Amino acid sequence: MNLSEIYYPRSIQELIAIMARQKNLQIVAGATSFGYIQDTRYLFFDPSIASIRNIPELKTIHKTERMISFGAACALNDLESVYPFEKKPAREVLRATANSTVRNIATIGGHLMYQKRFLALWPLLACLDAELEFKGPSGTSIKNIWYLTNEEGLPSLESRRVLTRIRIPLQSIDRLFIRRTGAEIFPNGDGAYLVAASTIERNSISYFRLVIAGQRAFRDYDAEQRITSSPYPLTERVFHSVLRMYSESLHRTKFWNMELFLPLISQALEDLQRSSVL
Amino acid sequence: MNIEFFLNGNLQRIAITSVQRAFDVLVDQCGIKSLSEICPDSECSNCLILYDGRLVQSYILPAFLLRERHIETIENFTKSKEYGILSAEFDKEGLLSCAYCNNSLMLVAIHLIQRSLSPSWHEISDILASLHCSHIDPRAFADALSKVIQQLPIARKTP
Repeated sequence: MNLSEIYYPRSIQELIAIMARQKNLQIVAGATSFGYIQDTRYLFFDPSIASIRNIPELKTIHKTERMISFGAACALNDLESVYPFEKKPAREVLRATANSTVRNIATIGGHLMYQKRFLALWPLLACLDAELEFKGPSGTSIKNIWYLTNEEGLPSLESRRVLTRIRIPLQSIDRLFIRRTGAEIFPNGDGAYLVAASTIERNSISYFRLVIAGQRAFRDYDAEQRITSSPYPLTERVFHSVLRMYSESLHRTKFWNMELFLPLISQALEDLQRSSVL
Repeated sequence: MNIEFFLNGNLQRIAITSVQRAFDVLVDQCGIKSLSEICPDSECSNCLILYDGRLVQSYILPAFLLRERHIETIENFTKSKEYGILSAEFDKEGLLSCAYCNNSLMLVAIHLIQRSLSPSWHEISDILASLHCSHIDPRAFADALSKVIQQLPIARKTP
């Protein structure tokens, strides 16, 4: 039985000072993934643990005209009534992450920083261009959530930095298309989410993102650009050209379950076409 | 390490290690009898506690996260008027037929009526989804809860 030293910092500065001293520090907030995955009687952690539940800055939610920002230690249930989870399809994904008693303590930071795969809310936040703020002994950095993936589309997390805030630009998203595939998402099943977010202004698509994430993450910038530069509704030629682009990039990246995702991408584009009637 | 937390309103000072689960500490060191562990991954939710007023599964919670928190178990409510009325109404509706989840079901009900005097159907079904017991009829639970809520104002006035 390996016992760990436990720290309870009360501010981000105190946490960073501990991070500077302790090289193998495991940061925990809700710790639900540890308690759930580890089926042994006793839990196992790294030699040092920092519980960040006592850091008030990590639990606040701020809203400005341009963006909403929430602390990484906000419980998933605390986010139900704020953008983007106030929107029904996003709220349903939030509720599907775990049952209510787990969502009461599991945090958005723990959800996004899960090292083994991308969990349910990741593709949604990637579609909304969420930015993540990290802090550590070497300073502060802000990254688009998409840059938490490596070239193979696998999770690539910052080491020796703690996720402090998640910022999401407040924008008018007309349509959210969300589909779930596979069985299990957590802890390491073959499930995945496909999320497409779009905004249509007059005769053009001003915003379009399509992200698939599960074991790996996928996004095609060129196809998104092709859509946003085309008149709306998309002509049949553009529609098929975009679908071909997605098919080629899925092949190129050797993305898993391609035969399943391509029809879903086609459905997402058809959904986009239908939104003209709204 | 030593931690302090409030358990059912009383300050507890106990020694824990990083490997312990909150469930084990509450049962073995604090003498809580209402929690049970049926399935190892806590899917059954018979280990529910109120953690700073929120329903949480104590089996998946590391013990070190109890520090400085307010923990409540059903023992804290068994002498309350709410508990008496709920228990009588649930018994009448046959909702307390499952010995395994009675404590969790009562804690969920107490939590719902403490939080709101008109819990929505969504709130009820969302929380009940955490209790993996096939004996619970969510509609019967909601009906019984609404009857109890109607009785509460009068019951609270009587000495």
